[in-house]
Amino acid sequence: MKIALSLGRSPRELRFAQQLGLHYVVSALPANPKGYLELDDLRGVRERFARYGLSFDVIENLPTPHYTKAMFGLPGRDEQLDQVCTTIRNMGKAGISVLQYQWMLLGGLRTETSPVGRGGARVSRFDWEVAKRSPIAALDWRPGPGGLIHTPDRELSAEQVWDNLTYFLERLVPVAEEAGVKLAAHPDDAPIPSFMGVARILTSLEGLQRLIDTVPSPCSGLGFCQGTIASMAGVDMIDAIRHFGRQKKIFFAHFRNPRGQVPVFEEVFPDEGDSDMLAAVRAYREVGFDGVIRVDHAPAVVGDTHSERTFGYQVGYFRGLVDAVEVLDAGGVD
Amino acid sequence: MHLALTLNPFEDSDLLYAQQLGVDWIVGDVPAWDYDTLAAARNRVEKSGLVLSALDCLPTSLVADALLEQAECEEAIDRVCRVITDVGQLGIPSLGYRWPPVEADSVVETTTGRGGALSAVYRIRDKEHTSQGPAREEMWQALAHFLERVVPVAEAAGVRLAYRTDISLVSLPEERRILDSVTELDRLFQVAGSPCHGLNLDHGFVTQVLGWQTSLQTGLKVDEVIRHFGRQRRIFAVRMRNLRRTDSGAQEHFLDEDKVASLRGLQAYQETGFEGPLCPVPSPGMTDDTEWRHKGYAFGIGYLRALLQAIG
Repeated sequence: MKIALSLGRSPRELRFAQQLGLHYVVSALPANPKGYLELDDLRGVRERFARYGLSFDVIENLPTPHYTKAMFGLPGRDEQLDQVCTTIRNMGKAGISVLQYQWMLLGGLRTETSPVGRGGARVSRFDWEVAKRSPIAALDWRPGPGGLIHTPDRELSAEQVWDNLTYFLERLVPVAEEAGVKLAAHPDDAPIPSFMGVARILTSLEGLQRLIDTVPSPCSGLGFCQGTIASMAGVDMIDAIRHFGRQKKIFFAHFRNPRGQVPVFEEVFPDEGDSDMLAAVRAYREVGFDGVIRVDHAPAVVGDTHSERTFGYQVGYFRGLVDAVEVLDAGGVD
Repeated sequence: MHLALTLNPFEDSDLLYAQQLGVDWIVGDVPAWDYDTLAAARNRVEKSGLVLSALDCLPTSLVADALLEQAECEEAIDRVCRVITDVGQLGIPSLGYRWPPVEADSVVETTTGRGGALSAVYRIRDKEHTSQGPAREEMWQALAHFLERVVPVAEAAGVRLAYRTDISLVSLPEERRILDSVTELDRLFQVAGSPCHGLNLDHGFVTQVLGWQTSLQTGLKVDEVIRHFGRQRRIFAVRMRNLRRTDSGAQEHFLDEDKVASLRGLQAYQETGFEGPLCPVPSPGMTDDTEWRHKGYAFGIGYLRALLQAIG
């Protein structure tokens, strides 16, 4: 299994990944004022990682400002989509094979970061009741340019949001096929059906299947965020790995294990969430998943100035599960 | 077996660190050995909601004089007996000691491991023949005398005394070195066979010294070495690390660099019913880590937790 971290480009981060034994990395690129990611930048980043023995095959995510008009169905979306096509073609030329995007018009939602985790670790939480009481506070606030859309100025129904997504896919999927790039949709986190009057559509297994079936293509599938899917009400995340994995629709995945489901969940350490992560690793093997899977966020650990303790712990845990399954299920053959 | 961390109980943030990473057993690395310090150590661990499962190792300074003659020797052993009694009174279940109580300069070189991590190479002098020189017998006699006095005290105090295998001792010249093979460790329990007497095993020592030599001499493999001592209920604690032979010695590697050996080793410990603390050793040293190696420990804890989960 191709275990990865999401990294910047500093020597410290790159050495850390190497010493953890990683060979894969995912990364965001900042929104480009031109509206698309430039070939030289993509090649440069890929080469930079390659110098440290790290293969950069997944962009996480398509910068939101590059397609906000498309998400909301606003005038100017065709120009934006043309530029996203340029991004996809440039990725193909640079040899970066997966582009993850999300379709959360209002971004991610959380209500608290509270010291209620193991040993007082600060965990990120979502509580729908709290979010309803103070909706603006639940938005994913990110300062500066490139931040997500914030307080909405209109309402959008689920069908309107689906129409916008369908328009996006119909335009991009043929280009992705031609460029050899896979488009991986990240589910809506938190997975609630609507917020502040704006529908959230990738919030159930049915929604994810509808996305796959909307423009069927080997280049249209999922960024399988385990954490988001596990926090969907009533969903068994491991069954979901099998369901989408058998269809070869998991292009990329996130390793996370929350506790609880909508309406209330919290992001605890991966060994203490509701899902059996060993069973998850076995399910990925069973369906022949061969994509990159990135270690996701977990609580902060005391004194962890560079988040290396929390990520070191998680990489160790994940690597241990993968190694154990390989050794045990292969009958001890290395 | 139970995941544990070796740490100084007087470091508040390290207690918190252990708890956050889900490690509830502590092996105490204490700065002093008077009753008040030990009591404070235990109280701090317990107040944190954790368990002080053992004290790592009696310091060389406390035990070294046990190698001397007569009065100095008896005084040193008296001091150790007092510590054992204190440890028992405080309800700390286990205590480590090493032998001989001398410092050995064992690291031949520090080289680079995966991704440029700092990896120590320990000098290993393999035995050419089974030496029975006078220096070795003197060492055994001193040890026998030491155990004759301290083991009954440990029994009375309810403390399990663990001989702490140490790769650095394999760097000592052969004529001054004991306890470096399965046969030698068997002799240790012939000398003091109390159920209160056992081993704190460095897994690297098991694979690179015990398993290595026995495989040459008797054909025993690493897991058989583990079973040999496990069946006798002699394994009180394990420090998990991955060492591998090079031309110059035994080099540190990350646990996942030999996943089969790490997993099979844990399975062997488990099969023998080992119930003591299992401590990761944070090696090789990662770049930009703290002196205590918080980053390295985090990786090791995560890795061992996963293997334990997988073997059930």
